[in-house]
Amino acid sequence: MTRPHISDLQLEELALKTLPRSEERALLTALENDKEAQARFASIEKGDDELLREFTPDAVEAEVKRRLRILEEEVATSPPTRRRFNVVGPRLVLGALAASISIAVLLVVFSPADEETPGYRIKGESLLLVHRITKESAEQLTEGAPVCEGDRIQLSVVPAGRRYAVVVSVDGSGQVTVHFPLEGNDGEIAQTDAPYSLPNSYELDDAPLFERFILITAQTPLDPAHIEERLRRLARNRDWLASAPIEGLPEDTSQSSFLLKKVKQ
Amino acid sequence: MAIDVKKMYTRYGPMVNRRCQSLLGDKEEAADAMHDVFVQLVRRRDKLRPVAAPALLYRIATYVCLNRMRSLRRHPETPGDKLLQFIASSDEIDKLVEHRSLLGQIFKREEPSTRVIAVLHYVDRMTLKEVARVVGMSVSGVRKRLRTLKKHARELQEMSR
Repeated sequence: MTRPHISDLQLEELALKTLPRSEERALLTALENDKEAQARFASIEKGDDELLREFTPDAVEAEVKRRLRILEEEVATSPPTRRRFNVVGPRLVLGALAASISIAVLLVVFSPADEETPGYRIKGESLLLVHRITKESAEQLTEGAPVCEGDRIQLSVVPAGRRYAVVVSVDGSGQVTVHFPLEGNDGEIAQTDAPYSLPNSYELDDAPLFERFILITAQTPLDPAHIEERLRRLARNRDWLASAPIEGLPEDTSQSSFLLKKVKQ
Repeated sequence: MAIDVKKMYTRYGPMVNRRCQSLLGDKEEAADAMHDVFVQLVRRRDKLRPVAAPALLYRIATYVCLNRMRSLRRHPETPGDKLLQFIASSDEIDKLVEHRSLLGQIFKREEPSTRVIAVLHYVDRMTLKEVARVVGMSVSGVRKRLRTLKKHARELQEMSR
Protein backbone atom coordinates (compact mmCIF):
# COMPACT_ATOMS: atom_id res chain seq x y z
CA MET A 1 0.00 0.00 0.00
CA THR A 2 1.39 3.41 -0.92
CA ARG A 3 2.11 5.70 2.00
CA PRO A 4 0.27 9.03 1.72
CA HIS A 5 2.57 11.88 0.86
CA ILE A 6 3.17 14.38 3.66
CA SER A 7 3.04 17.81 2.06
CA ASP A 8 5.33 20.71 2.88
CA LEU A 9 2.32 22.64 4.14
CA GLN A 10 1.49 19.92 6.65
CA LEU A 11 5.08 20.01 7.93
CA GLU A 12 4.99 23.80 8.16
CA GLU A 13 1.76 23.65 10.15
CA LEU A 14 3.29 21.03 12.41
CA ALA A 15 6.27 23.29 13.07
CA LEU A 16 3.96 26.27 13.67
CA LYS A 17 1.78 24.18 15.97
CA THR A 18 -1.38 25.28 14.20
CA LEU A 19 -2.81 21.82 13.63
CA PRO A 20 -5.69 20.42 15.67
CA ARG A 21 -4.37 17.91 18.23
CA SER A 22 -5.77 14.86 16.48
CA GLU A 23 -4.21 15.87 13.18
CA GLU A 24 -0.91 16.65 14.87
CA ARG A 25 -0.83 13.20 16.50
CA ALA A 26 -1.66 11.49 13.22
CA LEU A 27 1.02 13.44 11.40
CA LEU A 28 3.68 12.68 14.00
CA THR A 29 2.83 9.00 13.71
CA ALA A 30 3.11 9.15 9.93
CA LEU A 31 6.42 10.98 10.23
CA GLU A 32 7.95 8.16 12.24
CA ASN A 33 8.04 5.99 9.14
CA ASP A 34 8.89 8.62 6.57
CA LYS A 35 12.56 9.50 6.50
CA GLU A 36 12.17 11.81 3.55
CA ALA A 37 9.52 13.86 5.32
CA GLN A 38 11.61 13.82 8.48
CA ALA A 39 14.45 15.43 6.56
CA ARG A 40 12.14 18.13 5.21
CA PHE A 41 10.76 18.74 8.68
CA ALA A 42 14.25 19.01 10.14
CA SER A 43 15.12 21.66 7.61
CA ILE A 44 12.00 23.64 8.58
CA GLU A 45 12.77 23.32 12.26
CA LYS A 46 16.39 24.38 11.77
CA GLY A 47 15.28 27.86 12.50
CA ASP A 48 14.18 31.05 10.90
CA ASP A 49 16.63 33.42 12.52
CA GLU A 50 18.62 34.10 9.38
CA LEU A 51 15.64 35.38 7.42
CA LEU A 52 14.36 37.50 10.28
CA ARG A 53 17.82 39.01 10.71
CA GLU A 54 18.22 39.75 7.01
CA PHE A 55 14.70 41.11 6.64
CA THR A 56 13.62 42.46 10.00
CA PRO A 57 9.89 42.78 10.77
CA ASP A 58 10.20 46.57 10.80
CA ALA A 59 11.88 46.60 7.40
CA VAL A 60 9.35 44.22 5.88
CA GLU A 61 6.45 46.25 7.24
CA ALA A 62 7.94 49.44 5.76
CA GLU A 63 8.53 47.79 2.39
CA VAL A 64 5.01 46.33 2.28
CA LYS A 65 3.56 49.76 3.04
CA ARG A 66 5.72 51.29 0.32
CA ARG A 67 4.53 48.77 -2.26
CA LEU A 68 0.93 49.29 -1.22
CA ARG A 69 1.30 53.05 -1.68
CA ILE A 70 2.68 52.54 -5.18
CA LEU A 71 -0.18 50.22 -6.08
CA GLU A 72 -2.75 52.65 -4.76
CA GLU A 73 -1.18 55.48 -6.74
CA GLU A 74 -1.26 53.35 -9.87
CA VAL A 75 -4.93 52.55 -9.35
CA ALA A 76 -5.75 56.19 -8.70
CA THR A 77 -4.00 57.47 -11.81
CA SER A 78 -4.71 54.74 -14.36
CA PRO A 79 -7.84 54.70 -16.57
CA PRO A 80 -10.68 52.32 -15.67
CA THR A 81 -9.89 48.80 -16.85
CA ARG A 82 -12.07 45.81 -17.37
CA ARG A 83 -12.16 43.75 -14.27
CA ARG A 84 -11.53 40.09 -14.68
CA PHE A 85 -13.67 37.76 -12.69
CA ASN A 86 -12.19 34.68 -11.15
CA VAL A 87 -13.24 32.13 -8.68
CA VAL A 88 -11.21 33.52 -5.80
CA GLY A 89 -13.09 36.75 -5.50
CA PRO A 90 -15.63 37.71 -8.12
CA ARG A 91 -16.20 41.43 -8.12
CA LEU A 92 -19.89 41.76 -8.63
CA VAL A 93 -21.74 44.85 -9.68
CA LEU A 94 -23.12 45.24 -6.19
CA GLY A 95 -25.47 48.05 -7.00
CA ALA A 96 -27.20 45.99 -9.67
CA LEU A 97 -27.33 43.01 -7.36
CA ALA A 98 -28.81 44.98 -4.49
CA ALA A 99 -31.49 46.46 -6.73
CA SER A 100 -32.35 43.12 -8.25
CA ILE A 101 -32.55 41.44 -4.86
CA SER A 102 -35.42 43.58 -3.61
CA ILE A 103 -37.28 42.95 -6.86
CA ALA A 104 -36.60 39.23 -6.57
CA VAL A 105 -37.97 39.09 -3.05
CA LEU A 106 -41.14 40.89 -4.18
CA LEU A 107 -41.53 38.52 -7.11
CA VAL A 108 -41.14 35.48 -4.90
CA VAL A 109 -43.64 36.72 -2.36
CA PHE A 110 -46.30 38.03 -4.72
CA SER A 111 -45.97 35.97 -7.91
CA PRO A 112 -47.55 32.60 -8.43
CA ALA A 113 -45.23 29.68 -9.13
CA ASP A 114 -44.55 29.01 -12.79
CA GLU A 115 -46.36 25.81 -13.67
CA GLU A 116 -44.29 25.10 -16.76
CA THR A 117 -40.82 25.16 -15.29
CA PRO A 118 -39.63 22.90 -12.51
CA GLY A 119 -38.60 24.38 -9.21
CA TYR A 120 -40.24 25.23 -6.01
CA ARG A 121 -40.12 28.07 -3.52
CA ILE A 122 -42.12 28.65 -0.43
CA LYS A 123 -43.25 32.17 0.38
CA GLY A 124 -41.35 33.71 3.26
CA GLU A 125 -38.62 31.07 3.21
CA SER A 126 -34.96 31.58 2.42
CA LEU A 127 -34.21 31.69 -1.25
CA LEU A 128 -31.40 31.33 -3.73
CA LEU A 129 -30.56 34.07 -6.16
CA VAL A 130 -28.64 33.25 -9.31
CA HIS A 131 -26.72 35.76 -11.37
CA ARG A 132 -24.78 35.36 -14.57
CA ILE A 133 -21.75 37.59 -14.26
CA THR A 134 -19.64 39.15 -16.98
CA LYS A 135 -16.92 41.76 -16.84
CA GLU A 136 -19.51 44.52 -16.97
CA SER A 137 -22.57 43.33 -15.15
CA ALA A 138 -24.45 40.83 -13.06
CA GLU A 139 -27.64 39.61 -14.76
CA GLN A 140 -30.17 38.01 -12.49
CA LEU A 141 -31.49 34.78 -13.97
CA THR A 142 -34.98 33.38 -13.65
CA GLU A 143 -35.94 29.79 -13.13
CA GLY A 144 -35.38 27.80 -16.33
CA ALA A 145 -33.19 30.49 -17.93
CA PRO A 146 -30.95 29.27 -20.77
CA VAL A 147 -27.24 29.10 -19.97
CA CYS A 148 -24.28 27.56 -21.72
CA GLU A 149 -20.83 26.16 -21.08
CA GLY A 150 -18.47 28.88 -19.89
CA ASP A 151 -21.13 31.10 -18.33
CA ARG A 152 -20.05 32.28 -14.91
CA ILE A 153 -22.68 31.95 -12.22
CA GLN A 154 -22.77 33.70 -8.85
CA LEU A 155 -25.07 32.34 -6.17
CA SER A 156 -26.46 34.37 -3.29
CA VAL A 157 -28.61 33.32 -0.36
CA VAL A 158 -31.39 35.40 1.16
CA PRO A 159 -31.47 33.80 4.61
CA ALA A 160 -34.95 34.96 5.74
CA GLY A 161 -34.00 34.24 9.30
CA ARG A 162 -32.39 30.86 8.69
CA ARG A 163 -28.95 30.60 10.31
CA TYR A 164 -27.36 27.75 8.39
CA ALA A 165 -27.25 26.92 4.71
CA VAL A 166 -25.93 24.31 2.35
CA VAL A 167 -25.91 24.93 -1.40
CA VAL A 168 -25.44 22.00 -3.73
CA SER A 169 -25.94 21.44 -7.41
CA VAL A 170 -26.64 18.50 -9.64
CA ASP A 171 -26.21 18.66 -13.39
CA GLY A 172 -27.82 16.76 -16.23
CA SER A 173 -25.17 14.08 -16.08
CA GLY A 174 -25.89 13.44 -12.40
CA GLN A 175 -22.73 15.13 -11.15
CA VAL A 176 -23.15 16.56 -7.64
CA THR A 177 -21.17 19.56 -6.36
CA VAL A 178 -21.21 21.24 -2.96
CA HIS A 179 -20.90 25.02 -3.37
CA PHE A 180 -21.36 26.05 0.23
CA PRO A 181 -20.13 25.77 2.92
CA LEU A 182 -16.44 25.50 2.16
CA GLU A 183 -14.44 22.67 3.67
CA GLY A 184 -14.21 22.97 7.41
CA ASN A 185 -16.98 25.55 7.81
CA ASP A 186 -20.36 24.94 9.38
CA GLY A 187 -22.41 26.92 6.86
CA GLU A 188 -23.50 29.71 9.18
CA ILE A 189 -24.61 32.77 7.24
CA ALA A 190 -24.89 36.36 8.36
CA GLN A 191 -28.40 37.41 9.32
CA THR A 192 -28.66 40.63 7.37
CA ASP A 193 -31.18 42.07 4.97
CA ALA A 194 -28.65 41.93 2.17
CA PRO A 195 -28.20 38.62 0.38
CA TYR A 196 -25.17 36.56 1.26
CA SER A 197 -23.05 36.00 -1.84
CA LEU A 198 -21.21 32.69 -1.84
CA PRO A 199 -17.43 33.11 -1.73
CA ASN A 200 -16.82 31.63 -5.19
CA SER A 201 -18.49 32.08 -8.51
CA TYR A 202 -18.90 29.03 -10.67
CA GLU A 203 -18.10 28.49 -14.33
CA LEU A 204 -20.51 26.13 -16.04
CA ASP A 205 -19.00 23.12 -17.77
CA ASP A 206 -20.37 21.15 -20.68
CA ALA A 207 -22.73 18.93 -18.68
CA PRO A 208 -25.93 18.41 -20.68
CA LEU A 209 -29.55 19.39 -20.16
CA PHE A 210 -29.45 21.50 -16.99
CA GLU A 211 -27.68 22.72 -13.90
CA ARG A 212 -29.87 22.57 -10.83
CA PHE A 213 -28.97 24.40 -7.63
CA ILE A 214 -30.56 23.39 -4.34
CA LEU A 215 -30.55 25.52 -1.21
CA ILE A 216 -31.10 23.81 2.12
CA THR A 217 -31.45 25.97 5.23
CA ALA A 218 -32.09 25.38 8.91
CA GLN A 219 -31.80 27.01 12.31
CA THR A 220 -29.30 24.39 13.48
CA PRO A 221 -26.04 23.31 11.83
CA LEU A 222 -26.45 21.11 8.78
CA ASP A 223 -24.32 18.20 7.70
CA PRO A 224 -23.06 19.00 4.18
CA ALA A 225 -21.43 15.59 3.78
CA HIS A 226 -24.70 13.84 4.58
CA ILE A 227 -26.63 16.08 2.19
CA GLU A 228 -24.07 15.49 -0.54
CA GLU A 229 -24.28 11.73 -0.02
CA ARG A 230 -28.10 11.77 -0.14
CA LEU A 231 -28.00 13.81 -3.29
CA ARG A 232 -25.49 11.46 -4.95
CA ARG A 233 -27.79 8.52 -4.29
CA LEU A 234 -30.88 10.34 -5.51
CA ALA A 235 -29.02 11.55 -8.61
CA ARG A 236 -28.61 7.97 -9.80
CA ASN A 237 -32.33 8.09 -10.62
CA ARG A 238 -32.73 10.07 -13.83
CA ASP A 239 -36.39 10.76 -13.04
CA TRP A 240 -35.42 12.54 -9.87
CA LEU A 241 -32.70 14.76 -11.24
CA ALA A 242 -34.55 17.78 -12.59
CA SER A 243 -37.24 18.53 -10.07
CA ALA A 244 -37.82 16.30 -7.06
CA PRO A 245 -36.93 17.53 -3.55
CA ILE A 246 -34.28 15.90 -1.39
CA GLU A 247 -36.06 13.57 0.98
CA GLY A 248 -34.83 12.29 4.31
CA LEU A 249 -33.50 15.60 5.64
CA PRO A 250 -34.07 16.72 9.24
CA GLU A 251 -37.53 18.14 10.02
CA ASP A 252 -36.55 21.74 10.58
CA THR A 253 -34.86 22.14 7.19
CA SER A 254 -36.32 23.93 4.25
CA GLN A 255 -35.15 23.62 0.67
CA SER A 256 -35.62 25.39 -2.60
CA SER A 257 -34.48 24.52 -6.09
CA PHE A 258 -33.34 26.62 -9.03
CA LEU A 259 -32.81 25.09 -12.44
CA LEU A 260 -30.92 26.52 -15.40
CA LYS A 261 -31.37 24.95 -18.83
CA LYS A 262 -28.20 24.17 -20.75
CA VAL A 263 -28.15 25.24 -24.38
CA LYS A 264 -25.42 25.17 -27.00
CA GLN A 265 -23.54 28.41 -27.61
CA MET B 1 -10.18 43.39 9.17
CA ALA B 2 -6.81 44.91 10.11
CA ILE B 3 -3.63 42.98 9.29
CA ASP B 4 -0.63 43.32 11.59
CA VAL B 5 2.09 42.84 9.01
CA LYS B 6 4.96 42.71 11.51
CA LYS B 7 3.23 40.05 13.57
CA MET B 8 2.17 38.00 10.56
CA TYR B 9 5.62 38.21 9.00
CA THR B 10 7.43 37.27 12.22
CA ARG B 11 5.26 34.19 12.60
CA TYR B 12 4.69 33.13 9.00
CA GLY B 13 7.34 34.95 6.96
CA PRO B 14 9.85 32.08 7.03
CA MET B 15 7.15 29.65 5.83
CA VAL B 16 6.21 32.02 3.02
CA ASN B 17 9.86 32.48 2.12
CA ARG B 18 10.42 28.73 1.95
CA ARG B 19 7.36 28.32 -0.26
CA CYS B 20 8.55 31.04 -2.63
CA GLN B 21 12.05 29.54 -2.74
CA SER B 22 10.71 26.11 -3.57
CA LEU B 23 8.70 27.51 -6.48
CA LEU B 24 11.10 30.14 -7.79
CA GLY B 25 14.40 28.46 -6.93
CA ASP B 26 16.14 31.79 -6.51
CA LYS B 27 16.82 33.28 -3.06
CA GLU B 28 16.51 36.92 -4.07
CA GLU B 29 13.44 36.41 -6.21
CA ALA B 30 11.87 34.47 -3.37
CA ALA B 31 12.52 37.23 -0.84
CA ASP B 32 11.04 39.79 -3.22
CA ALA B 33 8.00 37.58 -3.83
CA MET B 34 7.62 37.09 -0.10
CA HIS B 35 7.09 40.84 0.33
CA ASP B 36 4.45 40.73 -2.42
CA VAL B 37 2.62 37.96 -0.58
CA PHE B 38 2.14 40.24 2.42
CA VAL B 39 1.15 43.09 0.13
CA GLN B 40 -1.59 40.86 -1.32
CA LEU B 41 -2.64 39.79 2.15
CA VAL B 42 -3.20 43.43 3.16
CA ARG B 43 -4.85 44.37 -0.14
CA ARG B 44 -7.36 41.55 0.03
CA ARG B 45 -8.01 41.71 3.77
CA ASP B 46 -11.69 42.52 3.34
CA LYS B 47 -12.24 39.62 1.00
CA LEU B 48 -10.52 36.93 3.04
CA ARG B 49 -12.49 33.79 3.72
CA PRO B 50 -12.21 32.00 7.03
CA VAL B 51 -9.18 29.88 6.11
CA ALA B 52 -6.34 29.22 8.54
CA ALA B 53 -3.41 31.63 8.11
CA PRO B 54 -0.80 29.09 6.95
CA ALA B 55 -3.09 27.71 4.24
CA LEU B 56 -4.12 31.21 3.17
CA LEU B 57 -0.55 32.46 2.91
CA TYR B 58 0.49 29.27 1.13
CA ARG B 59 -2.19 29.89 -1.47
CA ILE B 60 -1.29 33.55 -1.93
CA ALA B 61 2.39 32.62 -2.23
CA THR B 62 1.58 30.08 -4.94
CA TYR B 63 -0.41 32.69 -6.90
CA VAL B 64 2.30 35.31 -6.57
CA CYS B 65 5.05 32.92 -7.63
CA LEU B 66 3.12 31.50 -10.60
CA ASN B 67 2.57 35.06 -11.82
CA ARG B 68 6.27 35.81 -11.46
CA MET B 69 7.29 32.67 -13.28
CA ARG B 70 5.38 33.77 -16.36
CA SER B 71 7.99 36.43 -16.94
CA LEU B 72 11.06 34.55 -15.83
CA ARG B 73 13.49 33.08 -18.36
CA ARG B 74 14.34 29.92 -16.49
CA HIS B 75 15.79 26.69 -17.62
CA PRO B 76 13.95 24.07 -15.61
CA GLU B 77 16.16 21.37 -14.18
CA THR B 78 13.79 18.98 -12.46
CA PRO B 79 10.51 17.34 -13.53
CA GLY B 80 8.72 19.45 -10.93
CA ASP B 81 10.37 22.58 -12.32
CA LYS B 82 9.25 21.66 -15.83
CA LEU B 83 5.66 21.23 -14.75
CA LEU B 84 5.74 24.50 -12.85
CA GLN B 85 7.20 26.31 -15.83
CA PHE B 86 4.54 24.83 -18.12
CA ILE B 87 1.82 25.89 -15.73
CA ALA B 88 3.16 29.39 -15.28
CA SER B 89 4.28 30.22 -18.79
CA SER B 90 1.35 28.79 -20.64
CA ASP B 91 0.93 31.77 -22.93
CA GLU B 92 4.39 31.34 -24.42
CA ILE B 93 3.45 28.44 -26.63
CA ASP B 94 5.46 29.67 -29.56
CA LYS B 95 8.61 29.37 -27.51
CA LEU B 96 8.08 25.79 -26.42
CA VAL B 97 8.75 22.48 -28.15
CA GLU B 98 5.74 20.42 -29.23
CA HIS B 99 4.88 18.49 -26.10
CA ARG B 100 5.54 21.44 -23.84
CA SER B 101 3.44 23.71 -26.01
CA LEU B 102 0.62 21.23 -25.67
CA LEU B 103 0.76 21.55 -21.92
CA GLY B 104 1.01 25.28 -22.38
CA GLN B 105 -2.19 25.24 -24.39
CA ILE B 106 -3.90 23.18 -21.77
CA PHE B 107 -3.10 25.61 -19.01
CA LYS B 108 -3.72 28.65 -21.18
CA ARG B 109 -7.40 27.80 -21.09
CA GLU B 110 -7.48 27.49 -17.35
CA GLU B 111 -8.10 30.14 -14.73
CA PRO B 112 -5.26 31.15 -12.41
CA SER B 113 -7.04 29.41 -9.55
CA THR B 114 -7.11 26.16 -11.53
CA ARG B 115 -3.38 26.45 -12.12
CA VAL B 116 -2.84 26.87 -8.39
CA ILE B 117 -4.99 23.80 -7.77
CA ALA B 118 -2.93 21.87 -10.32
CA VAL B 119 0.35 22.89 -8.62
CA LEU B 120 -0.92 21.95 -5.19
CA HIS B 121 -2.23 18.57 -6.31
CA TYR B 122 0.26 17.43 -8.96
CA VAL B 123 3.46 19.12 -7.79
CA ASP B 124 2.97 19.41 -4.03
CA ARG B 125 1.08 16.11 -4.07
CA MET B 126 -1.61 17.36 -1.74
CA THR B 127 -4.78 15.35 -1.42
CA LEU B 128 -8.01 16.83 -2.74
CA LYS B 129 -9.08 17.57 0.81
CA GLU B 130 -5.84 19.45 1.51
CA VAL B 131 -6.12 21.37 -1.75
CA ALA B 132 -9.72 22.29 -0.93
CA ARG B 133 -8.64 23.59 2.44
CA VAL B 134 -5.88 25.74 0.97
CA VAL B 135 -7.88 27.26 -1.87
CA GLY B 136 -11.08 27.62 0.13
CA MET B 137 -13.27 25.47 -2.08
CA SER B 138 -15.23 22.31 -1.52
CA VAL B 139 -13.59 18.96 -2.31
CA SER B 140 -16.15 18.34 -5.00
CA GLY B 141 -15.37 21.74 -6.50
CA VAL B 142 -11.66 20.93 -6.64
CA ARG B 143 -12.39 17.51 -8.08
CA LYS B 144 -14.50 19.07 -10.76
CA ARG B 145 -11.76 21.55 -11.70
CA LEU B 146 -9.17 18.81 -12.04
CA ARG B 147 -11.55 16.66 -14.03
CA THR B 148 -12.18 19.56 -16.40
CA LEU B 149 -8.43 20.15 -16.66
CA LYS B 150 -7.81 16.50 -17.55
CA LYS B 151 -10.64 16.62 -20.08
CA HIS B 152 -9.14 19.66 -21.75
CA ALA B 153 -5.77 17.90 -21.78
CA ARG B 154 -7.26 14.84 -23.47
CA GLU B 155 -9.06 17.01 -26.04
CA LEU B 156 -5.88 18.80 -26.93
CA GLN B 157 -3.95 15.56 -27.14
CA GLU B 158 -6.57 14.21 -29.56
CA MET B 159 -6.37 17.35 -31.66
CA SER B 160 -2.58 17.18 -31.82
CA ARG B 161 -2.56 13.63 -33.24
